Amino acid sequence: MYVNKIALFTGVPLMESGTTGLKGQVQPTSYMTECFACLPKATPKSFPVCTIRSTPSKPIHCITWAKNFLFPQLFGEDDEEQHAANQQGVSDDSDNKDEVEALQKEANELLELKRLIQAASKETNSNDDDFVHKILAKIFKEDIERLLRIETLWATRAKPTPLQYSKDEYSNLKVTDLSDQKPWDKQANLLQFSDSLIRLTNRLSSESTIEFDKDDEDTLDFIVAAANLRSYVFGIEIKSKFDIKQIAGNIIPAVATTNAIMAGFSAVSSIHMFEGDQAIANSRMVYDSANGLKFVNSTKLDSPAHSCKACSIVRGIAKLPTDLKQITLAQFRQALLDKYGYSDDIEISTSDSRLLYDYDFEDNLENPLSQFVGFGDVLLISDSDEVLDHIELYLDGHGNDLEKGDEEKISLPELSIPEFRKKTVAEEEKDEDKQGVKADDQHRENEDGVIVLDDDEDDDAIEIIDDDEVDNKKRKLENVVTSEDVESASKKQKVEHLEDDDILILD
Amino acid sequence: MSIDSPPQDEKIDESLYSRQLYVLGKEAMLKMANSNVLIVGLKGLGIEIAKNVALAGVKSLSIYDPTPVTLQDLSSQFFLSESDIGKARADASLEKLSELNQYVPISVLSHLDEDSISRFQVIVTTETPLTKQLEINEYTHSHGIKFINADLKGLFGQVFVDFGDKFTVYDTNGEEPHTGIVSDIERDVFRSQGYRKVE
Repeated sequence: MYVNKIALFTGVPLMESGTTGLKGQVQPTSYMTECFACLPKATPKSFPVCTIRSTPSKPIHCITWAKNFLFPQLFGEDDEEQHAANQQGVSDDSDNKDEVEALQKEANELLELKRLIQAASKETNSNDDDFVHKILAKIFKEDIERLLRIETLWATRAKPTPLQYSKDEYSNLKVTDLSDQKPWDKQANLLQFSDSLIRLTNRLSSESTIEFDKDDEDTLDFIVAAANLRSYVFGIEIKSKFDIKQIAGNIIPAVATTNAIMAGFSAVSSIHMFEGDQAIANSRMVYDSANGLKFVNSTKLDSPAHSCKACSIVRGIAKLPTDLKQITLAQFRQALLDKYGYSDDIEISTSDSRLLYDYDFEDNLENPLSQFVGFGDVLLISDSDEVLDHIELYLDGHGNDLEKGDEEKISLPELSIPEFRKKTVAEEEKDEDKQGVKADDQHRENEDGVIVLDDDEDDDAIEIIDDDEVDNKKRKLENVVTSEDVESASKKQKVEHLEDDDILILD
Repeated sequence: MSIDSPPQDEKIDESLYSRQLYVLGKEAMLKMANSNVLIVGLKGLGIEIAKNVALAGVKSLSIYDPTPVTLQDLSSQFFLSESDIGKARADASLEKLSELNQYVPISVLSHLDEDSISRFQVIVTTETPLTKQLEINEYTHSHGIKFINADLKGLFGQVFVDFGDKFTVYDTNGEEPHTGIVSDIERDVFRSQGYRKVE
């Protein structure tokens, strides 16, 4: 996003492309066409605290729980602030008093478990695995029983089943026999939970805290076992260690061939950027095709989106003398009025919404610019008469392309400023850096409690109807478009503009 | 040795190949690890194929191209430089290709005949005249060797694939398998055409 903005300021076309596994796209952007920010990008999915802590329904919830909650609680640092924040997150997220109370109690008890582990790590008698069973009993049995008592949670959901097992059940298995490609059964998960817990506990005698790392086998084994056991309890599908490693580790798959192909398109596409504005405006975006018969599709780029926070504002670079103490705000204002022909007056604000000047606020006029801004800052200029639209100016030094005697000048860029549009765009600028997390309709978002994780799961059953003639009875099957994964933020969907030509037009 | 049933205990260097593993799957990668590949013709297309095969990881990669490097080759063959002009293309490309993947031994094949190609599981030809392609394919087809020919004409390209008549295709068209939901079950038999049972 940042690079996109700079490219817009400098008026340089930007060639953006990316790949994920066998998919990829090439997207030329420029001031003539839609920019990178024009179409909303899929933001990484995040889950409400209560889904993770009390009502999971998908494998990813369990994996997130194991990795971001259980593991740090048991093996991470003692962090009172974090603990308080977690508790706060829970009470902010849920309306259900019983649920809040249950979860907070659970978290407090986890601290006790942590002490158990720490005590065990100091034991020289490493045969005592009593604490493993205490931990299993608490997190997969007692905590679940406590949740079950909150009837309201299960009014519309399937109830979880507290874990039942006996110590002998898994004693015949060996951890080394477990394949990472196939999902483990209950016994195997129990074995692995116990085995990895002991390994990690032993490590605590030399490491004060342990962090999850997908390449650290002990931590990965623990996460897999814990997530799977939780999945068993909640009746959720079990995943293999291989799959969980990818999910927990945010692994973006990649192969050389897709990169080679997209690199090729990118290079050929870039040729347009040297051919002038018209060629740039006619650039095409190339992206992988969902249709199995073609590998790629191409579409023309749209013109800039009116509501785009990045490119719908006119932008340019203002070049100022090196010593900003020599220029007053008044001089700067005058230069602006002269250059762009404002009918009356202007407002000047900084990018973090501090007003420097408007016709009611003249206090700063005689002060040097250096008091308010430096090179690299951006100023927003608004027309008080609301005739011309807002502009943004990036403040830069003159650099080396100076003519004699120009060093003291203020050089403002040539800009064609469109008519005034509503202020919403300028006001939204303030929020630009906070990438708003897209709210799921059924969940409420909460900043402290929300756990961000890339979700590459497609949990909806894919239903495709055979669209041959339908008989008299109305069928209730729906046409569903397969939802693609949203892991890579550089991936963009553009199904609306699908072209059916057999020939891929690149020019 | 047949590469259709890979040994299951073989290890793949997961720290190197992890990203690729999640695209291709372990079974495919094990098959690759047991394959010797030959690439004929090392102009722009050939070197691109060689690069991708080396990065992907195979048991061994051999290259064959005695044609001397010319100045024109440099515009699309990225491993060649001016000092290579006059050398055989395969020889000139060998060193840089070998740097791509420490797990893949790469060597230059000195001549192309039935004896020298018999040990490969996959042969790719580029820049090869049709008569020679036919000759090679004749041999590969009858000896269970997978054959691919690829050519470029400007911005157009063509690929020919022959994996032999015993090759099993698991996925014929890349489409998602159809699934449906049973919406209704009736005793009546659907007789006439135009009706289809929902399975």
